[in-house]
Amino acid sequence: LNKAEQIIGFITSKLVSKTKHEITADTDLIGGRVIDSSALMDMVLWLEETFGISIDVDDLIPENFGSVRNMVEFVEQSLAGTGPGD
Amino acid sequence: MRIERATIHHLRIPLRKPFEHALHRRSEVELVVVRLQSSDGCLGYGEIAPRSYLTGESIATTLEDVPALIRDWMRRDIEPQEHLVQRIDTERARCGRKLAAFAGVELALLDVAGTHFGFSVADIIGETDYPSPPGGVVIGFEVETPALPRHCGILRTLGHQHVKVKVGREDDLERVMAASTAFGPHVQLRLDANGAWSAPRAIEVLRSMQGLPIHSIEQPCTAGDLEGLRSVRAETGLRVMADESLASHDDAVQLIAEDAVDLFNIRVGKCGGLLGSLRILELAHEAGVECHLGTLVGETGILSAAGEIFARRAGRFPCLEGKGQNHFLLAQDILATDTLEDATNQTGLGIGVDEARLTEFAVATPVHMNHSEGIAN
Repeated sequence: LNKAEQIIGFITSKLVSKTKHEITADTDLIGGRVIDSSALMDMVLWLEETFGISIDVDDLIPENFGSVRNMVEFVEQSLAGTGPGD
Repeated sequence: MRIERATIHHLRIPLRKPFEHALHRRSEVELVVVRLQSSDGCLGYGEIAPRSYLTGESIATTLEDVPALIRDWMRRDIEPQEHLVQRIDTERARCGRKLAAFAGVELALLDVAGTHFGFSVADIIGETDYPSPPGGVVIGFEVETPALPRHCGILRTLGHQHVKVKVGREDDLERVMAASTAFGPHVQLRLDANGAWSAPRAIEVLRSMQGLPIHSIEQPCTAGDLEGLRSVRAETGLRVMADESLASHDDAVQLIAEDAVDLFNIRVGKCGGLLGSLRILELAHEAGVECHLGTLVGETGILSAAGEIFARRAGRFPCLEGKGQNHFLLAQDILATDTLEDATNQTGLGIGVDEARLTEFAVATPVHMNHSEGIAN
């Protein structure tokens, strides 16, 4: 599985499995009210654990978490040491 | 129309996560749902979420008081909209501080009458349909201080601009500074002490926060300490909001007469229902007191629908605090379908209750009343 598939799998299985949302890489997770604060908190913890990254408070912005594509880019930047938290 | 049958459901619903402030910590919510059925089979639902620190009511007093409230309505013919509104106003004035119980019966009554006569409860509140206000979030004590920056960062990421921080702890300054740092200076924080402080302590703590972006301080002192509320206003220059001090119309009259606060926190479930809330709002507007619209922690979709309708038709609220909590806080709501976005265009309250969930979350066997028993008792 690539990162996008892993993230979509987590969202659909753990966070919004009871909703009718179909999640794609570009689904607006925030504006579309797909995830709430509890779900985003779970998402952040899962990203840290799964990809071995550390997410700083300053990294918590819509540009990094607004969609699956945003999250993949953020994770890859963090792993490459070029993310905003590094 | 007559009320033919009534059922009183005592429920306990787990929360998805605990919530805590200076007066209470809860990981589940106990509430009472009133179900009224008209002689032609129309249904109406109301919700009672009693809070002893708001109206003095408890689940026990609610279960005692509600049958008598219902019995009064079973004795009458329920008339169309205008007459019903007048009658509800009259009855509420006589209910004392049984305001949560009255609210639940009122909602059920308006819901069943609206369904029977074909009017939306929203039309009783106002004719103009205002945009649905954004939700306001509340940061309680259940968020430990070390976790606060990340918690606030999550809320900031989701775009929240209306933020309340519960205070009344030793580390209030640290917590408010953490929230302010996360949200930035453009977000004016609403602080809420739930009456945890004396007036001198409130003044001391709030002075230590001078320079931070604070919108208002809600209930810095106990409900009856109007002199304390007034002194906090005078000594800190902050706007003071009444919550525990404001439940009845008489409370509002006294707060205005004594010039004790700048803002009222109206909540449908504590202020005697939709019409009780509306009368307080009207009084506040006449007196130039600004109003904030809140919800009750752990309320179900019934009270959430009432709050949404009130916000959309009364208008002028910057946010609806706790909006959507029936989804994000309750383990499971009792509504069959979520029609809140269209709540003002439907008859009654525009809700449908999943009766299986009333059974699932029941604490005790429901109390049933029928018309003949209502007259007899």
